[in-house]
Amino acid sequence: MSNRTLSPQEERLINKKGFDNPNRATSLISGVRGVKPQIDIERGLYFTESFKETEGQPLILRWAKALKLYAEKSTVVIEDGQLIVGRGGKASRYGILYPELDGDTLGINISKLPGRSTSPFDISAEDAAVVTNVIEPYWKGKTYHEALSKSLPHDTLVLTYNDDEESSSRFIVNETSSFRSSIQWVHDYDVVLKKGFNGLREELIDKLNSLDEDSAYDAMEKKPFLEALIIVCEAIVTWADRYSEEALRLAQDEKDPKRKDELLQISDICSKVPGNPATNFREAVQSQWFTQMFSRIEQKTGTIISNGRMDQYLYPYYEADIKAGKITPDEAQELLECVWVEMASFVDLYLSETGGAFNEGYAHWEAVTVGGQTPEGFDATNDLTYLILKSKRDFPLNYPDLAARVHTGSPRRYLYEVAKTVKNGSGFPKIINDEEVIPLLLSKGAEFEEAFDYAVSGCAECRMPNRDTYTSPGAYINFAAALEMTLYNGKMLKYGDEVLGLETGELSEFKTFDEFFEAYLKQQKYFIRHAFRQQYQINHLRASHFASPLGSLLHKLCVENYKDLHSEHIPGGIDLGYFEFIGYGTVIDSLAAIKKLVYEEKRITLQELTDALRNDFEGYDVIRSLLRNAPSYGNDDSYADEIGLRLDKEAADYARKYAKEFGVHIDLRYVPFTSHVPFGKVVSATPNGRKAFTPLSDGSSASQGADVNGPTAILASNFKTKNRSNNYRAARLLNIKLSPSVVEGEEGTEKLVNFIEGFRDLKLWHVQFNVINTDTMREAQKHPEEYRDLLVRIAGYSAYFTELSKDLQDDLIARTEQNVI
Amino acid sequence: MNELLVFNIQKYSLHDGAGIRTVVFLKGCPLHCLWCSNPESQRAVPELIYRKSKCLGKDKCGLCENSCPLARMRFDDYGEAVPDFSVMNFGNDYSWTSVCPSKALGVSGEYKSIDDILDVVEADSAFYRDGGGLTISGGEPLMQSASVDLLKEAKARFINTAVETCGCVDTDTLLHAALYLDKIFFDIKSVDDVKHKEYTGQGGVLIRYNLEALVNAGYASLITVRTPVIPRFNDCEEDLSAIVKYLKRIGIDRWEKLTYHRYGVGKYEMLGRPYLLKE
Repeated sequence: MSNRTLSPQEERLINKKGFDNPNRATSLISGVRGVKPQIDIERGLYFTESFKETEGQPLILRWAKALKLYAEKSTVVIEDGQLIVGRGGKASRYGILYPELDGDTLGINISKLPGRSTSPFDISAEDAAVVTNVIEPYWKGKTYHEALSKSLPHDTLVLTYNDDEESSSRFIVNETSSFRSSIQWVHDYDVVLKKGFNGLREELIDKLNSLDEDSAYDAMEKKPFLEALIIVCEAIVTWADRYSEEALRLAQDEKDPKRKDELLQISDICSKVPGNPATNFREAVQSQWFTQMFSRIEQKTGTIISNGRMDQYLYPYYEADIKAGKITPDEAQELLECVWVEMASFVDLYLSETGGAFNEGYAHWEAVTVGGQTPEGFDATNDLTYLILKSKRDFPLNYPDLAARVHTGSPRRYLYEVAKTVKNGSGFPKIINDEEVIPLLLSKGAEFEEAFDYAVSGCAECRMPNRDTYTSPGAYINFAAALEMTLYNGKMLKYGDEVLGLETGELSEFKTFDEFFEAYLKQQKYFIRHAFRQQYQINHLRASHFASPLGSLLHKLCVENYKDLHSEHIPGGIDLGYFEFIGYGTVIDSLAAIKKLVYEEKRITLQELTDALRNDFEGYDVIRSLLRNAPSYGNDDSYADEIGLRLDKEAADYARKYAKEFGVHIDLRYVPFTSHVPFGKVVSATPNGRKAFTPLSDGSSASQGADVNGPTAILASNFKTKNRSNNYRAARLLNIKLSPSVVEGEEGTEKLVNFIEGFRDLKLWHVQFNVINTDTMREAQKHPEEYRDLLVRIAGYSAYFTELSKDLQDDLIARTEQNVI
Repeated sequence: MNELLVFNIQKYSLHDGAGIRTVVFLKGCPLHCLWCSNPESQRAVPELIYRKSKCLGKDKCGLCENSCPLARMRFDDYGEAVPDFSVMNFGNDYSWTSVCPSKALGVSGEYKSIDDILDVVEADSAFYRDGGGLTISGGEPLMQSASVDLLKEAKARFINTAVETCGCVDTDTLLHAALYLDKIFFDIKSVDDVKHKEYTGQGGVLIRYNLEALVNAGYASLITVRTPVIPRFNDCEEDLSAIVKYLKRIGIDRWEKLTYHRYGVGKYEMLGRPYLLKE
């Protein structure tokens, strides 16, 4: 694990497949591949320098000035061979610093980073000294992280942070607002392409000139807001101009005439965009990239700012260029791949171990959305949709994070190409379902045209770029810990005698399953209660710590109302917050096992159960075996699914009742990023037979290996455990493993299409496939219990991989290797 | 009681007809093919199964030692259970196997009503597209006459139906079933009756008679003939071309070969039987 510099999927792709046709992307990516990321301190440093100068000024103005300083002073690097420029760091793979978030612990975390087991980074001794001596001292006492931890009541605090120097996460009721400035977000990129930042600046100046000088509100609120936005418009153009100059300088020294020509073109394009409207595809791509890259400099958005509906806003430029013969599809694909390489170079750096654990393997979700419907509700697929899908198949790294929207009117060809891409593209695209997302957005107050035009944002979120207005990150709640507290009367084995949760009673008091279940539900509710208290503080605190002049500029409601995007409320906006249920399968299966074995069959007592759990099943093989064979979620088994439905109902009902007090939606979701891993590390053995401190179940997927009835049953269980009448709900993340034999050949593609159609008609939110490889099969040989769900599908025959003998498994692995390559 | 003896219902089956299908595996078969990959399908009664790899062993568990009313469980040197299939397989009640916590011991074959079966099949309705639906397989699914009622009820529920048959069945049952079938996968393993008998326990006369009866009744368009290609048995050009020639003569044009695989070998051990095919 240590020093792994590529995600497992990346490694797999690179080692297995590499490039079939070496091209520009091939050589560009050789600088990224296998390189441990470096921390680039410039962003952190210039923000610190600027903030020192602007004490006391309105926050949004301070942010804009910091961005301006960055634009003027940061190092400009153009990589050899690149056609698209604009970077936030010098190294081939880099992460940047956001000291306003958790800069108070920079020193501690920086010293730990290079050797950290999850997502390590390097930093030079010189830079580390700047961080420790210049950056950290300024932010100490000023960060959001400190303010939040001070503001929480004690009983909330103990569920949130450990009592240590860094206030590190306890991974129980986990706030995520101090390792990112915003939830996942999508800008209105279209307005940049159409008007350019110069055009936007003109509009702001007009507004500035028409302010009422006698109005204190105009002077104190609107004026700094407009000034900040104007500064940002100028800053990004300055930044682009510096790239233009650098390209010209390089061109003068360039010996290779072809590259010289490319550099001159880059220089020309950067002198035009993003200041001016884009006039062709390449300018549009460059303009969009400058915008999102500058947004990355502005703040840490979710798990990297998302790209929105690229196949929609870029299409008019693509179509015009193709028609005019100015570009070929191959050339357009090359430009896209140049952007994907830039994305691969920027690594979402998390300073705190908490952030790193949430995003293991440098996980990143800067979603590019394709497909779906037009604002009018017609199918939106176009040639660029297919080109982006093709580039995903050809490009060997898992950037961009590609999301394909599906709806009942999606063309067959689109579904086939999506399925084909899933097979070849290492599981991408993930699939998001219009038939679930759109009705939910409508029910929350969106207009049809806004709902039809949503963009996937991050892992599984969906945003309406000019209508969504809620940016406060939500809580991730470890409900497996709630279950543990039910068993140990408010305590957890990891934390000894400390009472963390509710004292819901000793085991002997639970005479019936209902009594036990009620006790669990009390713990569950207690956790949500504290998550909401956190959220209440987060909503209030964020506006005084974060500003987003660029994000506000690219949001109509912010500009109309002269309100920063991070304001607590923006008139006319729809506020969609959320909290995450982590460990869903783990909790359901544990409760089902207790119901069945303790209360119905009476094969074990609660006391025997907890004896086994306390000993992590050492010497309790019979009990563990019984537990693992009890009914479980993900098998279309009502016994387990009814429990799941109840858990979902209780959580969503709480949200419906209490989110109103906030004036926002706080929806129930099941999207873990990679948090089910660190969350598992605090939870001892659970009654579903899970060993202590191992990962919890992931999202709305079944517990590892528990789904033994195939993938259609997982979807059915998902459908049956969702309270569809309550709209205080949003994404459910669902990952499905497919064996290569299942998707083999043309027929395999067809049947994957059928499966996706079934998913769509069951109105599930998200699915992502992992077509497993032979390495996974070898893992399954070693750890059969974790891989009980691997199917072998051969005509007229049924079996599970782990039930085959070793030599037959080897045989199947050999067969798979031949077929895959 | 209109019940069927089922040994598995497998959702998300991809190689047993068009689309995504649910395969209902029915127990009992007139043939005993040496290469059979579903040996648990052969006997038409519930029977004991024992998955050795799941057994916790006598030291850790041993709960089965006195649980069987017919015989005491023995354990080998490693402490793993050694069921005496010759005795334990001859009761009617296998409920004693539920004592096993790891499901190493179990029973293959459960009587299920047509409604119960079709409820499971219908649970996957959202996935039946492009011709997907129900396939009955086995064993020989048409050996249980109630399988025709199952097909009839499936058609009444507008479910696409297919069968995987060895063809060695009562002709009237087969023709009756065909009324309710959208697809017939019909095995012709060999047209050499001596070999057929040696490797499957039965000659091929009735099988060919039945195939021709289906063709004569006008069902040729529903039929795909399948031939499992088995080492030593029929894996030579001569045998295969004889099959092709025969099919051409009777007017069947869809034929596919199934590659031999050994993925069922472990199941013989599970049933306490030897795998007899010599490769």
